[in-house]
Amino acid sequence: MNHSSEVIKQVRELLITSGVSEGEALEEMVDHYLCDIESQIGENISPQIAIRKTLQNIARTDYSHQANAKRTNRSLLAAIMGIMLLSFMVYKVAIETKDDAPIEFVQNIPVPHGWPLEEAFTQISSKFGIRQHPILMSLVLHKGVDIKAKIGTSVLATGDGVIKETGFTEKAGKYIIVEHNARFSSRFNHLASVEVSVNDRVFKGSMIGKVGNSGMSTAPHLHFEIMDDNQHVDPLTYLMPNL
Amino acid sequence: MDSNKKFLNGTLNTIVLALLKDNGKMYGYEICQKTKTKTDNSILLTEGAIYPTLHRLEKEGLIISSKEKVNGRTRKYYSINVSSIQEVNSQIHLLSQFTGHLRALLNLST
Repeated sequence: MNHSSEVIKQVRELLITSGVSEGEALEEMVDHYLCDIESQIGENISPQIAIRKTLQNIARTDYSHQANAKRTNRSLLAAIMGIMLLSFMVYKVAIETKDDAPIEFVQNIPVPHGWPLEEAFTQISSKFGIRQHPILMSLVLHKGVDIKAKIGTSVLATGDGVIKETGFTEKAGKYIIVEHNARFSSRFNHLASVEVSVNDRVFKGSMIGKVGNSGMSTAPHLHFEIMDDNQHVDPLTYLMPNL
Repeated sequence: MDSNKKFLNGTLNTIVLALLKDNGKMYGYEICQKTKTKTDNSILLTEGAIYPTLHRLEKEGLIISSKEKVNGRTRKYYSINVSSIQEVNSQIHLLSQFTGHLRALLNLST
C-alpha cells in the first residue's frame, strides 16, 4: 500500500518533534509507524482512524532518551536563548512605551490587546514559555497561553484585522489566524468551530469561533498566540480582560 | 506488562536472535508482530525496546542489516551474521537451559 506523501511527512515531522534525530534511525521509525497504520487498516480500521491512532501513539512516546541527548540539549539551549531574547524584546517594548500592560501602540502601530473570550474571568492553565508538553512530555516552547474555558464559549478577535487563515492540523486542531496589521497577528487553536472565512474583515470583539478540545489537547481550552513580526510574544503582556 | 518488561530486560537480545535465526531476515515491526502473535498478545515489544536492541546486536556483529525500498520508503531488514552463528547458537542454548532451570525451581512440569 502506498501512503500519501502527506502521511509520511506527518509521521516524520512528529517523530522529529518528539526527539528522534534525523538519519537512518528516523527512517526506520517512519517505516515502523507506517507498518502500524497498514496493519490497522488490514484489520478493517478506517485509514483516517488508523493514522490518527498512530500519530497519537507517537505523540505519547518519549524518544528523548534514545541516543538523542545531544540534540535535546542543543534544542533546549536554543529554546532558552530564544526565550531570553524574546523576554528582552518584550522588556524593551515595555520600556519604550513607558507603560504597564496592556500596550496599545508600538511605534504608532495598534497592538491587538482585547481579551479573546466572551468570559472575562477565566483561568490561565498554561503560560507562555518553556514547559513540559502535556502529551509529548518533552520540553518545548509554549508559544502562547492556554485559557481554560467551556466548550462553545465564544472566541473574540482581540483587535481589528482580516482572517488570514483557518484550518485543521493534528496538533492545533481547528485554528484561526487573524492578521491585524503589517506587524501583529494572532492565532487561536483547539476550536470546536470556526465561524469566519479567510479574508473576512473582523473587529475587536467580533465573535470568530467557539472554544473546543480539537487537536492535541487534553481538556477544553483556548490556546492563544500573538506574533509580533513573526516572533511569538507572551500574550499576557498585551491582553486586558474586558471588565 | 510491567512484569514482562522486567523479565525481558535480560532476555530480549536472545529472543531477537532466536526469532531472526528462525525466520531469516526480518524488520523491526515484523519482530514486534511476531512476538505479539506467538505469545497470544501478552508480550508487546515497544519501538523503544526493539530498535535499541537491534542496533546493539548489529554493533556487536551478531546480526547484519540490509535496506530495501518498500512502498516508497526505506525498510531495514536484519538477519543473523553467519560468521557469528556459533555465538548466536550458544546464547540461545544458554537461555533455553536457564528457562529449564526456572521451570524446575518454580515446580512447573516441562
